[in-house]
Amino acid sequence: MRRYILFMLVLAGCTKNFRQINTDPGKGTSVAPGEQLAAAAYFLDGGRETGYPNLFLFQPMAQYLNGTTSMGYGSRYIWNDFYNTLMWDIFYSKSIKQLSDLIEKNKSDSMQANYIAAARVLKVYIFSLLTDAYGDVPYSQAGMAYYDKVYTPRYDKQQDIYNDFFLQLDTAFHQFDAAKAPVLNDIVYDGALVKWKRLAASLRLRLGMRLTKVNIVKAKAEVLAAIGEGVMESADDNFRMIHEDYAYPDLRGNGIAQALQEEQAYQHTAGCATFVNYLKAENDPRLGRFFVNRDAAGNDITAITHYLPIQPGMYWWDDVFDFIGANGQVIPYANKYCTINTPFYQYQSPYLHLGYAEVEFLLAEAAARGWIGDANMHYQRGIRAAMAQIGMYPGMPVIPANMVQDFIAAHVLTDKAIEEINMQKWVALFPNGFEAYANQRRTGFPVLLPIADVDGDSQTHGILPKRLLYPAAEAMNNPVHYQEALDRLGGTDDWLQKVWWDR
Amino acid sequence: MKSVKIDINNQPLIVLLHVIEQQTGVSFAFANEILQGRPNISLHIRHTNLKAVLDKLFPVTQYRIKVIGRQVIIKQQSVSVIPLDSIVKQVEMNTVVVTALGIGRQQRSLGYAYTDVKGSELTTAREINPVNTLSGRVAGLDVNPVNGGVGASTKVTLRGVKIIGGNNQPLYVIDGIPVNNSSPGQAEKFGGYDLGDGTGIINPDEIETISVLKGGAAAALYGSRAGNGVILITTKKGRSKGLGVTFSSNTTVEVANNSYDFQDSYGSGRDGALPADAADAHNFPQVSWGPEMNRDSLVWIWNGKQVPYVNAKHKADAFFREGLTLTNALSVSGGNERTQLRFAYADIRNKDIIPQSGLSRHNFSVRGTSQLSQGVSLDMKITYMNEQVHNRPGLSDNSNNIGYVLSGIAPDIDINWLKDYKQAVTGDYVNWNNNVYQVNPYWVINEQPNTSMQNRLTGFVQLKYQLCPGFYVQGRTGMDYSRFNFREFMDYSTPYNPGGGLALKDRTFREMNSDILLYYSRKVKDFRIGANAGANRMDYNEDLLNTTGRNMNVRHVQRIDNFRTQLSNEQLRRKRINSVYGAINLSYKDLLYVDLTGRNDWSSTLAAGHNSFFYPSASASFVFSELIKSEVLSFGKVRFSIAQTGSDAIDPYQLKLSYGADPDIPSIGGYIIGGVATNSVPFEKLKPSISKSYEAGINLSFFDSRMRVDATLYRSNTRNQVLNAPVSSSSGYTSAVINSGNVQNQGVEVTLGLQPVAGKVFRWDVDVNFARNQNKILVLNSLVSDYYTLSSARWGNVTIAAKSGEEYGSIMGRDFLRDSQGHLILDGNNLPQYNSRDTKLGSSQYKWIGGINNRFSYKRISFSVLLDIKHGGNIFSMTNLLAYSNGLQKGTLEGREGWARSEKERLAAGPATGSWMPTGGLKVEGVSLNENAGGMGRPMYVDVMAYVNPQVYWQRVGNNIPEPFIYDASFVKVRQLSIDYRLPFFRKEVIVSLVSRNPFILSKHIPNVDPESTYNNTNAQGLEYGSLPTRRSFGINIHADL
Repeated sequence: MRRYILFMLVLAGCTKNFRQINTDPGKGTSVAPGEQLAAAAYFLDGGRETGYPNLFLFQPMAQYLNGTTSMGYGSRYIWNDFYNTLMWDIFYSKSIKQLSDLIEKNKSDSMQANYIAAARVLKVYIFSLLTDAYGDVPYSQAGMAYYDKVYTPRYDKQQDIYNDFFLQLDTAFHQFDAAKAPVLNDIVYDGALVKWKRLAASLRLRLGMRLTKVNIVKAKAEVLAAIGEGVMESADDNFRMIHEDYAYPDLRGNGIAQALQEEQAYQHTAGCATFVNYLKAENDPRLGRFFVNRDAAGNDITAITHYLPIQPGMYWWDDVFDFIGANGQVIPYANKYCTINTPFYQYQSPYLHLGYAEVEFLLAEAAARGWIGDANMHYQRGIRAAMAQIGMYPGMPVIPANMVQDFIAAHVLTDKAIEEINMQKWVALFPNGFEAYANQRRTGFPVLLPIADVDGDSQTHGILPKRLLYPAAEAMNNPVHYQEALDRLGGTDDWLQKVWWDR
Repeated sequence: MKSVKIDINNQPLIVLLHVIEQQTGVSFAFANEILQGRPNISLHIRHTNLKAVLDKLFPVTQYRIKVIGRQVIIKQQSVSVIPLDSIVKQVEMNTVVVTALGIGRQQRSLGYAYTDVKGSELTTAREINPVNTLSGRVAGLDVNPVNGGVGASTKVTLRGVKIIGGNNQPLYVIDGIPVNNSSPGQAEKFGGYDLGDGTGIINPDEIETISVLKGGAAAALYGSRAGNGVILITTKKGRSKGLGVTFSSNTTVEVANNSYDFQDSYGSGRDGALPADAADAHNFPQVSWGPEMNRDSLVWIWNGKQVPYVNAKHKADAFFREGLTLTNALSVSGGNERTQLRFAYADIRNKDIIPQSGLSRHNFSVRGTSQLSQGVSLDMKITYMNEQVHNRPGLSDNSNNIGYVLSGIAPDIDINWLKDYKQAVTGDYVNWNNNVYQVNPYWVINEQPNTSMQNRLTGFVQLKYQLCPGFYVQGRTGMDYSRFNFREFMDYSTPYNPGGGLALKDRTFREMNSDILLYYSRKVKDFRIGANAGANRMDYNEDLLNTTGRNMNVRHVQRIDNFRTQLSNEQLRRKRINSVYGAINLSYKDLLYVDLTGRNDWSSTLAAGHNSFFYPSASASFVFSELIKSEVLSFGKVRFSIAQTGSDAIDPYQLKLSYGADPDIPSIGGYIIGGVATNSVPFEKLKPSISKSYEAGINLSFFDSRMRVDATLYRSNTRNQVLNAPVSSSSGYTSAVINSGNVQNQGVEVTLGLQPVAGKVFRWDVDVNFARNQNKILVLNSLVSDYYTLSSARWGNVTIAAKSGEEYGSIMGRDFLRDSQGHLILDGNNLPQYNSRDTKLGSSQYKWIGGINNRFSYKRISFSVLLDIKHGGNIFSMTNLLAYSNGLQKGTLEGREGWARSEKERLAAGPATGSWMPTGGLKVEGVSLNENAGGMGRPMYVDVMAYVNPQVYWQRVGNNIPEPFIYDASFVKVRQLSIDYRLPFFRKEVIVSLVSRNPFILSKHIPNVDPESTYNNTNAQGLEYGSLPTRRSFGINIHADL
């Protein structure tokens, strides 16, 4: 009997097979780096929740659009925790996580250099969106919870982050190597290393130009370095994300489109007066491609209302007077404003992160600043590329060549070149609110119209916020570093405090 | 008569009778039925006469004893009287009770608090979830049913919440086999369903007793999962002679316990104006900021009609119907001295108060016990349960949450208008409110149905070999198997899923427990020693498959292949725990008892090197009344215990990173989306959590048990908890698995039993229980932060948090911005502002809970009433928040008339809003910052009294400041009323009872909803959102023992 008990003890005490039992049979222990790269790039604009900050905060702040309830937050400057937190939560935990893991796992294998380089470029791009929106953000310690056990990353100063951006982009540019393993499953450039290199340089161009206010010398140096490396040369080089025709909650659809389709919000997503009036003043053929007027039955009534825009800050119901047409037609107030046009809320619409048109406008600005040659040439190339670029939206009518030519002929830079370039860049960036908002803060263009705050809701008394507030959860989950960041802002999380490059 | 000396420990009655025969030379004659249902006996007596022993064993109320020479004939009384104490618990200290591992012990010997509940207490007035009937009956047993419709789950807590963010429910053990009580699905912040829990396998008719093992020492032998206590259920066995038939039938009618108390004078509209036209009317069926209702005006409604603007004839509560529940249970048992069989069947059919919703459940069980040969006995049981639930209600933020929609409907909107929910020709959804998140409830119940089916099989086989008196070996293997399916269909044009949708959930789990136990006991003079040792292997397997289909090809077809998009997500969970354990019980006379236990577990979920953990316990009981001869004190003991309980990581696979394709986006444009497949940082060095607990208690019984007191003080500390702690998302992850924390629970539990009147004709019993638990998080989380968000509310930015230095479950959120004197600081529009940092607004934990049960018996009639009391907790009510925002809450009436008058005056006078001083409205008092005054760098505040638009005020507050919507969740409820009549029936009895569950809420402090209105059974207690009314039931129960 005693031997039997002993036997039982040995049997029960056995931990054999524990390792196998505790390994998830439904998941792998490794992954192809290309899949991580695709995930990191994809989650920047796939699914409604990534569309929200762009549509509800940045596009209204750039005075492209407003009118719906949710757009009131960005149009009237009302604080909303949920929309404010989304890009932080999604970008860090869906994109930065994968890129950090990719780099950490593959950094010792020199054959994987192209993946590492592509990951560096994407990381810089994603962090540039984050730091431009929030200011100082977790950077050097971010995304490393598993490898470094850092659960509460430090907030780096934006200046340090930018300095590292240029270093990372330069390193990546030189790291791409056709002799190394190709980038497979490459959702961005399908393995074309030369396009990755042009993206690295173009991003350097964009971020270098960002510094014109804070450090013109550094700005010029980085812009020239970028041009020297070789920036995008055509729309083929565009950093553009594909999508498929799926409604939320399927994340394969375009994020902005899913946000606009939600409760058919596009019906009241109206063209902002700042934007519509500029397009009208310039006689821009894109006006009718960006916007349309429809009645309740869906009929095109543009001929009656002629792209009536909404004042920034207003909701579609704020002005309850019906529209009376020239021939006395009564258009109920709910349908009087021009609204965003159909191609923009197609789930399969691609999303443009950084494109050739923007690059040409950046070059134009560099030239206008006297750093390189012919500003007008780049300006007009930029306009031409921007006109062509909207052809990527499904169902978007092509702008006839003669109209493009006439428009370009009418647009020659004058002595207000910086303004003209950045106004056309603003049009070209639509609907990329992230970049439009950053560029507006740097250049002051477009000059924003004062907001019509009918109910006195604005929490800034109508002043454009200069950054987003940090996610409220940081006060709980990362209290020490959060407080350090607040101390650098003067003690409170003030969204009227400018970010470093805006000072 | 000759004196007898008896030393019997946990033996069947027959053994005792043989001992008496041997000592006294008498021989007993009796029908086998007198042995029926008799528990094992432990008796230690010396120098007592035979009569005294027999009186004790066979009370004259139930038996007749005739002595003819040396022959003693024992007969049952012709009418088997149901003991009067079948409802009221008796602290009868010599009774043998079931403790851990199924070992019977004299209650007097236990060194820890012990409470049992008889099965009959759960069968008279029933609930579909049998655990709910325990509410208010046991000190410290905190029962919180989820307000999640029929078939919903229940959260049970014993002695407080111990594990931050983890499972804090006790372990359920039926006949020695752990049964899985986990839920296949719960609602959270953004919605979901309560898919029930595992308690459906409990058939109340089959329960002999429920033992509640609350503390560490009581439960330590059950290992890992017993840290939160154990609910030990012992079921009935077959009888050894003749045929026994038991039948019970229960019919109850359920009605909504309607708490809606909304305003009914202002209807649809905004800013005091009616909707402009039929199109505009779509915006206002759930917005009640219109003008005061008036028979002379007409209001547009969404269907294009204009109707008189009056209070609706049929209000939201007319949506509900009368529910009906029929429960029928039958058991047949029989056998002989060697072999006994019992078969039981129970059937529940329910028609819920929500139309188209209901449940049906069948429980079958077969139990066989047999003496195979000398010393070898077999015990086996199979239980099968089948449960179907139709139309579980969507909860929380689900777009088909009926409660959410109904609690917002403007008072002029007739609920019957919503019955035209689909287009006559196309069958498409009729848009009524321009809000895809608030679907017409008639569409929900008819075109968006859901069903669930659970098939569950549990069983065990046990062989016991009695090697010699006082020593046996027992081997047992048991299984708990469940297959659960849930399907939710959304027909074409369902809001939010316009292309139609289908969601399938399939869950299969199997838990196997195999164990061996050696038991030994021996008596040496005044000492008695008992010892046992055992080993167990637990294997757990769970497969979960979620499939969604979207964009249907053919309308109404509910098959998955009818959908153009299909996505699946599979989760496989595997786990093993090996254990050895042992216990030693020592006793000296009937005076002193000492127990020692130890257990070692090896768990597959922990890191190698940390996966073996040992934890001991010790308890002692001292029956001091043995030393005191007193007329007053009939019994008295003190008890002490100290125990550790070890716990592994509940979930597997938390040691290293795992990778995979994204289940929601397997690929796009041919590119695969993959990567790290977890949002929680794994921890390679995961070690077990250890809970240490102390307990001291006293049991006193006075005046022949007319007054009984059972009091316990306890404290537990749970350290190194396996936490999935929230971390900064900038770390790349949303949470991290770590070992951390020290949560302390201390408290007191008191049970008081009184029998003020104990006549033969009239008897009155009172049972009172009280429990207070104080929880404190001493250490939380050095690696992360001192703040753990347990859950967050959909609206108002409220979170339920664990914070070091605070108690578990603090309700955190923004409060009003106030100056140092407490005045509201108003903004330029005279509206209140908020503190941007969260403060503690309340606590989701009750300060104390208790129950009072009164039972009056007069001849054959008895009447009992059970009060259930919870005091001192808070609840954040999003129903009320939204009702304030949309103008339906009664509290929004203040100032509406005045504001309308002021606006009229303004329009007549002509000035714009900004340059008009309102003459009426919601009066706001506070201070405002005067930037021109002050000086010396100090802000200067000036007093303000102003009128504001109540709509603007409540929308501002509703959007930003949750403080006014935190309510006191205390309540006093009449949990149960019953009147029993024992009707003579041939030579037996039939008990006929009139019963009611939850008939009255005597006291509550929250309007419009029941304070027991949580939407899940997780740690997110303290949040309420779009709750359905709770149910009250009335019915009749017939119970016959034939």
